[in-house]
Amino acid sequence: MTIELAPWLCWAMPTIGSVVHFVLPKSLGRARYAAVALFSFVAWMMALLMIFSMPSHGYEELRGFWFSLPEGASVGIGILLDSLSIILANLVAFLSFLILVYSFKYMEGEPGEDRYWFFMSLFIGGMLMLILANNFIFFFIGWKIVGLCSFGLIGHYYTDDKKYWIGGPPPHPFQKPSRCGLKALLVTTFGDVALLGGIIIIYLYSGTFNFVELYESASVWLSKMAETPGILTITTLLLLAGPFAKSAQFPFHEWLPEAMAGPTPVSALIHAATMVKAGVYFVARVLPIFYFGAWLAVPNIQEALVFFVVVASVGGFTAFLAGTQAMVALELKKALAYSTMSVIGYMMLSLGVAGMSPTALVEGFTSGIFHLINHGIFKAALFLCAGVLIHASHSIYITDMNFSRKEMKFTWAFMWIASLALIGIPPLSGFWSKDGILLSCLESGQYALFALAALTVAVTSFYTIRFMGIMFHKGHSEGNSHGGHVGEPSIVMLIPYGILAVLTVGIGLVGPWMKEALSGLFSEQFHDLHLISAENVAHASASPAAEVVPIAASLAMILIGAFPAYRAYIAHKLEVSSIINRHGLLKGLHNFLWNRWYMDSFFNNVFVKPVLASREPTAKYIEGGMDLALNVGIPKLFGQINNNIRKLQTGILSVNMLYILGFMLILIIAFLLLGVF
Amino acid sequence: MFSPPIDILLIFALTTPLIGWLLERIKKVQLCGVYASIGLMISLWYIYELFGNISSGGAQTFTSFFSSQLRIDMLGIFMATIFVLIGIFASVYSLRYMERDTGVPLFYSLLLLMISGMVGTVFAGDFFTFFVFWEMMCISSYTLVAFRKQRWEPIEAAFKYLIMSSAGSATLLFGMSILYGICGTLNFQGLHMALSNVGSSVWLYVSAIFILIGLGVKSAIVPLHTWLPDAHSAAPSPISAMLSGVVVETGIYAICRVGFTVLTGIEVEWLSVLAILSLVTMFVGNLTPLLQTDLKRLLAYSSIGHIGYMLAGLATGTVLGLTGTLMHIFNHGIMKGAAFLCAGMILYRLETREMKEMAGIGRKMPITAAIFALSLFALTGMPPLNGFISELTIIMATVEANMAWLGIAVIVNSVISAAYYLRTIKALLQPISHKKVEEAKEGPLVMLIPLLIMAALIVVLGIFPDTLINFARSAAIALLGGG
Repeated sequence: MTIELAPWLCWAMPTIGSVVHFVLPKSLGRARYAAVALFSFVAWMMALLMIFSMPSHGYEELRGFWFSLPEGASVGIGILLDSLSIILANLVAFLSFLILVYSFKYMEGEPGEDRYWFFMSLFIGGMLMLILANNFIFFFIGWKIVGLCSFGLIGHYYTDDKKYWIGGPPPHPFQKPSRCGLKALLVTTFGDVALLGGIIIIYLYSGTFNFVELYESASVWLSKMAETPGILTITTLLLLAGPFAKSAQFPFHEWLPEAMAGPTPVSALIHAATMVKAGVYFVARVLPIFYFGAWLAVPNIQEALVFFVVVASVGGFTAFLAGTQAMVALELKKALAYSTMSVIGYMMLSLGVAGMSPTALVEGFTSGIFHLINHGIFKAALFLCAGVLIHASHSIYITDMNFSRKEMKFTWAFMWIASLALIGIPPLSGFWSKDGILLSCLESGQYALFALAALTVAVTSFYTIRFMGIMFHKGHSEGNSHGGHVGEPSIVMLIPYGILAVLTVGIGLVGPWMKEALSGLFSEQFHDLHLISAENVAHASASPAAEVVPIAASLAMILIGAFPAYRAYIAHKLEVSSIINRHGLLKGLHNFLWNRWYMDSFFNNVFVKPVLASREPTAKYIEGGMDLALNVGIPKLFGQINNNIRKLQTGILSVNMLYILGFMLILIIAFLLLGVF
Repeated sequence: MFSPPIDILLIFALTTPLIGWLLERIKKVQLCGVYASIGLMISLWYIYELFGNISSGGAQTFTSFFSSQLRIDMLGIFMATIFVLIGIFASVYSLRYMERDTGVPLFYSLLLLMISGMVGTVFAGDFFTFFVFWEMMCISSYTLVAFRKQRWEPIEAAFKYLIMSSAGSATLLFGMSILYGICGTLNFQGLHMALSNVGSSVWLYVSAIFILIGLGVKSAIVPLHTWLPDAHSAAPSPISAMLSGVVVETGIYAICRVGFTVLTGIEVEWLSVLAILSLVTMFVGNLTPLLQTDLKRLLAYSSIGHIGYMLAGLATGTVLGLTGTLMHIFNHGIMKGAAFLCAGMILYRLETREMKEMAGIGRKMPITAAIFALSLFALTGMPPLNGFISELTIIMATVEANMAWLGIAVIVNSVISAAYYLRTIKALLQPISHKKVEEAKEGPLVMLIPLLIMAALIVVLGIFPDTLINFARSAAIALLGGG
C-alpha cells in the first residue's frame, strides 16, 4: 500500500464503518459493534502511517477532482498534509478508538445501540475529513457532518425518559435530551451559516477555496479586500462565528453544558476531546493568512489584527467565565463541560496572542496546539472516569456520590492524575502547555490577558479539587445514597482511561522536549510560508527571567485556588454552605454563577421567547391569509385554466387536422409581421 | 453501406424475424429480445468508435446507395448515442414486458427499424436521405403504437398519429421540393451555400413554413401536439419511453439541423417564431396534465412541456442555448424513459393506468417507486439531479441572449410542473385502497436492471455533469460552426 492512500483511508474507513453493523447479520450480536471499532482502529493505523510521510517542509497536497464552478475555481475532495493536520488526525483517531473500545462495554444494553454506533463512526469520519481537507468546501462538509452527528448523539435518549433528564436538582428546572440536542444544533448552525458567509466572501475576493492557494495568494486578495474598510472586519467576524459556536466560546457557549445529555462516551469523544476542538483547528488553519496580513503585508493591514484581538479576548473571557461557573456546578458532567469550555478558551487565547505581536507567533501557536493535545487526553480520561462513577452511583450529582478510594483504587488514581493535569500541577502534561500559554501572553505584551489567564488558573484549581473532594473525600463512609454498585468497572472500560492517564504522566515527563519538537515543526512550517525569517526558526528564546514569571505565577495561583478548596472539601475544616449563607455578597455571587451569569436566560428571553410569542399572531394573520391565497386561490386558478386548455384536446381527428391549418396561418402571420415588412 | 451503426441495426432488424421463427420452433421466442439487445449494443460500440474518429478527424462525409449523402458530425454522434442507449434500455425491459404478447419477433424488428431510422436521420447529409430515414422511423412507430391490435384504444391512437404525421410528412416533402426548386440541390451543405448566394425570397418563407409544420407535427409543437397524448399513452410502455424520450426529440434535432444549417438566411425570424412557439408549448404542456388522472397520459403531456424547454434553448441560437437543448434531450430521454418504464412496471403488475387505483403501490414495489420518484424529481428540475443541470443551462442561455422572459417562463413552468409530479408521487405513497395493490409485488429483475442503470445515470449526470456538458457543447459547436 502506498503512503498516498493512507490519508484517504483515514477518513474513509470510519465513514464506511458507520454502516458496517447494519450490513453484518444480526446473529453476530454485539460483535458487529466490534467490527465498527475495528474500522476506526484502521483509521488510527493510517493516521500513524501518515506521521512517517510527514512532509519535511511545508505542505503536501493530494488533490481529487469533484466539479468546477463557472468562474473557473475547482472544488475537489483533496487532502492537505502538514504538521498541524497530521498531529490532529493522530490525536482524533487515537482517542476515538479508545473511546469506542470503552463504549463497547458502556453501551451494553442501552437503547438504540445501532444508532449510537452509526453516529459515532460517522462522526469520526467527518472529523478526520475536516482535519485533512485541503479546501473550505470539503472542510465544511466534514464540519457539518460532525455537527449533525453531535445533534443525533446528544439527543440519543430521544424518548426523554425522566431518568435521562439533566439539570436540577429540584427546585431548579430540568432539561430533556431532545431539547438539548436541538439547542446544540441551533446554536452551532447559526455559527455555520455565518462561517459559510465568510467563506463565500473570501472566495469572491480570492477566487479559490483551497487553503494553500489562499496562503500563497494572500498578499493579493487581502490587500484587495482591505481597500474597502470594514469588509475584512466583517469577514473575520463571520468566519469566527463558526469556530466559536463549534467550540462553545462566548457568546455561543450556552449549548455545551446541556450537550451532556448524551451517553458519557459521547461527551468524552465529541464534547471534550474532538469536535469542540474543531473550532480551535479552524482558527489555527486560517491563522497564517491573518498573521501575514497584519505583520508582513506591505503596507500592514491593520484590520487583520481584529482576528487576533477577537480570538484572544473571547478566549480569555470564556476561560474565566466558564471556570467560574464550574465552581458551583453540582452535576459532574456539567462541571467537566464548563471546564472544557474554559480550557478551550485558553487555546483560543493562546492562538490569539500568537498574532498580537510579531514575536509571539511560534510560542503562542505551539502552546495552543500542545494544550489541545494534552487536554484531549486528560479530559477524555476524566469523562470516561465520570461515566463509570455515574453508572456506579446512579446519579448525575456529585453531592450524591460518595466513593471510597479503596473500592475503586485505579479509577480514583487515574482520575486524580487527570485532574491534577487539568489544574496544571508539574510535571503533568497540563502544566507545560498552560505555562506556555501564560508565557506567550507575556511575550506579546498582553498583560491584561495574562492576568485574566492567571486568575483562571486559581479558579480551575478550586473547582477541580472541589468536585474531586466531594466525590471521593466525604470523610464519612455511609455508602452511596442511591446504593449503586461500587467497585472497579470492567477491564474493557478501565484500560482506555488507564492508557490515557499513563499518557498524561508520560507526556508530562517529556513535556519540555515535546514542546520543543512541536515548536520546531511549526516554525519550519511558518518559515516555508515566509511568515518568519530563517534565524527565528532556531527558536526565539525568551530570557530566563521572563520564563520564570509565568511558572511562578501559575504555581502561586494554583495554591491560591487549591487552599480554600482543600480546606473545605477534603479536610472539611470549612462549612461552605453556612459561609455562603452568612455573607450576602457571596450568596449573590453564588446565585449569579449558578444561573450562568444569567446569559442562558438572556438568550432565551431575547431570541427564543419572542419567536415563540410571535407564533400565534403569525399563524392567524399572515399565514391564514397566505394559506387562503396560495393553497386555495392558486390551485383554483390553475384548475380553471386547466379545464379551459383541455378543451384543445378534442380527440376528434378532423378538428386536429384543422389545427394544422391554423398553425400554418399562425406561422404566416408571424413571418409576415417579423420578416417581410 | 450507411456507416457501421446503421448497417448493424438494419441487419439485425431484418434477421430478427428469422431468428424469432427459429426460436419459435424451440418455444424460446422471448430470446429474440436478447438478440435484438445484442444488436443494439454492437451498434453502440460502433458509435463509440465513430466518436473517436470524429473527435480527432472532424466530420465524415460519404456517398452511399442511390447517391444518398451521409454526413456524420459530433451532433449526429450525440443524438445517435442517446437513441441507441434508450433503445437498449427499452429492449432489455421488453424481454419481460412483452412476454404475454404474440408476434414478439416483429416487435423487436420494428423497434430496431425505428432506431435505425432515427440514427439514419441524424447521420443524413442531404434532405432526400433524411426524408427516407425519417419515414422509416415514422412508419415503424405507427405500427409499434398499434402493436396490441386486439384492443381498440391503440388502434385509434395509431390511426390518429398516422393521419396527422402523414400530413406533416407531406408538408415537409412539399417544403423540401420548393427548396430544391430554388437551389437545385438537396445536400445540406449545398443548400447552405446556395441560399447564402440567393438571399431570402417569399418562396423561402413558404418553404420554411411547410418544413416547420412537418417537423412540428413530429416534435409535437402546440397546436400540432394533439396526437401525442393518445399515441404515447396507448403504446406499450417501452415504446412510450422511446417515443417520448427520443422519437419526439428527433423532430427537435431536425429543426436544429434545418434551422441552423439550411435556413441561415432567415435565422432571426425563424428564431423569434420558435421563441413564441416555445412559450405556448411549455405552458400548454404543463397546464394540461394538472388534473390528469391517467398516469401515462400525464407523462405524455409533460413531454410536451419539456419540448417547450428544448425549444427555448433552441430559440436563443447561441452555443450555450444549444448545449442546454442537447443536454436536455439527453437527460429528458433518460428521465422520461425511466418514468415511462416505471409506469409500465406498475401497469405490468396492476394492469391499470388510473392513478387512483394504484394508490399506495410504493409500499408494495419500493424499488420501482423510488426510481419513479427520482425520475419525477429530475423532471421537475430538482438539484442535484440531471434535469436541473440542463434546465439551468437553458435558463442561463436565455438570460445571456437577452431573452430572460423565456427563462422566467421556464422557471414558472418548472414550478407548475412540480404540482402534478408531486401529485403523482403522492399517489404512490397514499394508503392502499385497492385489492390488486395489496397483492402486487416488486417487478421482475430483468425489468429492474435498466431502471436501476437509468436511476444511476440520473444521479451521476446531475453530480458530475462535466462530461455530458463537454459532449453537448462539441455537438452544438459542430452544428453552428460546421455551417
